[in-house]
Amino acid sequence: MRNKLFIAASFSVLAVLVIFFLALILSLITQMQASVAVRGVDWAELIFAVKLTLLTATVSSLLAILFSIPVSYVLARYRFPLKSFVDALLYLPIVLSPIGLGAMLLIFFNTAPGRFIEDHIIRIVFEVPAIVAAQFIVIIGLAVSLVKSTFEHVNPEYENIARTLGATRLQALTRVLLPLSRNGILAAFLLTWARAVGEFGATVTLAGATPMKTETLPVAIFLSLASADVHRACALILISIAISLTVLIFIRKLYAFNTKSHA
Amino acid sequence: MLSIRNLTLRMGQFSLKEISCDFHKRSYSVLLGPTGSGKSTLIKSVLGLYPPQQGRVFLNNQEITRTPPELRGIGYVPQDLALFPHLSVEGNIRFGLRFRNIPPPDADRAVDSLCRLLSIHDLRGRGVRNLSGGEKQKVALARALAPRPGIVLLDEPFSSIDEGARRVLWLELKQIAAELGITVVHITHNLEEAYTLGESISVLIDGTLVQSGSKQEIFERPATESVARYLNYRNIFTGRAEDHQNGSRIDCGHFKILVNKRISPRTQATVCVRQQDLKIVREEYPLRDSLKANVFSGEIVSLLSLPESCVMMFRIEGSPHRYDFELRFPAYIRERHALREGNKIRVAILTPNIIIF
Repeated sequence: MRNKLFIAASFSVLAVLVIFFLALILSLITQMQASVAVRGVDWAELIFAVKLTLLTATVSSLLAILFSIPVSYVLARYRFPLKSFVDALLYLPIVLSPIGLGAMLLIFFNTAPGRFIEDHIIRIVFEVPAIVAAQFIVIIGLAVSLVKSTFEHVNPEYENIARTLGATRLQALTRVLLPLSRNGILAAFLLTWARAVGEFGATVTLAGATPMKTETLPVAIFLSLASADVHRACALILISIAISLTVLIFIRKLYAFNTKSHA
Repeated sequence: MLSIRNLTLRMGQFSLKEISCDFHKRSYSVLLGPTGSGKSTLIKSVLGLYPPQQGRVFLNNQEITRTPPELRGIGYVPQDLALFPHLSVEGNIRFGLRFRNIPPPDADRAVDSLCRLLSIHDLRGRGVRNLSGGEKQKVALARALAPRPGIVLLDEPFSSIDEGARRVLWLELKQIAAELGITVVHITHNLEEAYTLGESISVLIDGTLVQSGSKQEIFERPATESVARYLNYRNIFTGRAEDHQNGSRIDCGHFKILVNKRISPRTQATVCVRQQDLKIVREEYPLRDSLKANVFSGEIVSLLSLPESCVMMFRIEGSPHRYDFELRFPAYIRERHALREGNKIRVAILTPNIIIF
């Protein structure tokens, strides 16, 4: 009897949460339908925001994964002085507020090395590359922790074997560790990509919120709400929800496949 | 030939201490020791995966102490076999060939001949996840042998295989090693496996190489008490030596054991009597000379029947202990002598076989 009560209570809490989320989405749809008669949607601006978000999120998450592979390899496979400090430092972006990270970047680009990059390599602050930089700094900690965890779950004996069979460290990484971590890395890419799509704080601090220039989906939602354009904000939020749900369902399927194939 | 000289390796609390040994060309050697004694650490150091703090490793008289693992040319089969799960059986076997610049026709021939030799031809296209323990073991061996190493190190390769299949594989493995003419260093903690496979055996206990020699030397003349205990020899006694006309007598308290060797009087000596070197003797039969020196009367405390043998605990008359000797003999002896717990019997030690440390 007690067990049944406990299960019933757990399911009830779950149901309340699901209903709450569905109610939130439903309210968005209702609000959109109510305000659709008031004014139409500026599709050009909306499409720009979606395109810019997808492009910058893809570039930043690809960069984050590329950086996280060697970093995670070193952290997962080697012991070295100050390792725990380095590990903690790389986790900082996960804990720190995105606005704080954006402000740190902004301050950095006002120092001599930052100005050198701006003057001689690439203009970043308040430009599109700033979005990529902001997203990258926010997601790199997540990427490293996910890829490192994937590497740690691969038995190092596989690489040892590869080396005794003639593979160098790099060949053992590319021919054994990376293929064995493929699904984990893909899941890390999708999760960091999803996080980059929703990034707002660091982006708005470093890249600003210029319509049709540095206007990503979260920035567009912010601008819409700031100008009391609820209809547009609702449309943008719904697009964000559609993107997020698609990615999350794909990640779950990937994990299920991964678990099944390793069973 | 693989030679290790004064190899010292510290890993946290554990260390390998000045290991020196030789594994001769085309021989089948066994590195024997209890779990946690450092066997796997030692071979990983030989493979170049754990660089030693001191000492040197030579392969065919060339020093390889600082050579990276990929250039050593030493085959390795780990305890968990570690077949690459993302590759097929053939992909696993071919893995090492691509790094050795072996021309494709030669690589094909090498894979074909190994698959035939190991009877895994039909498995070539299969994934490795659903192979049986024995099949996985053969694929791991084929993968290690494909790049034609001069020596292969096998780390407890039969640990995940059931008892029946294991014994068949012991014989197959030894035959294959002989056919290919390779040097094998086989690591195990299993005494039976070591005795069956090893032409020479090295015993590693707690990071120290305690004894190396032929399997007869190891099993008949363990060099130290720790080796004897590891070999499951139970009757180990320490006592003060006394002079005797035929050697020395060791006073073990409530009984004395006569040994053929002269030991300085009043020094402490430890002796070991293997379970099989204690014989049940009957008063109506005359004793062999080798049994006459140490005969004890007492009673059977307990009898334990095993599938192929019987273990008996024996207490010497007047002994304060629950039992003094452990004997092991073929199962049929129990019925022949009508042995029962509580029976009064006599046992004698095969004196020339007494081990003195």
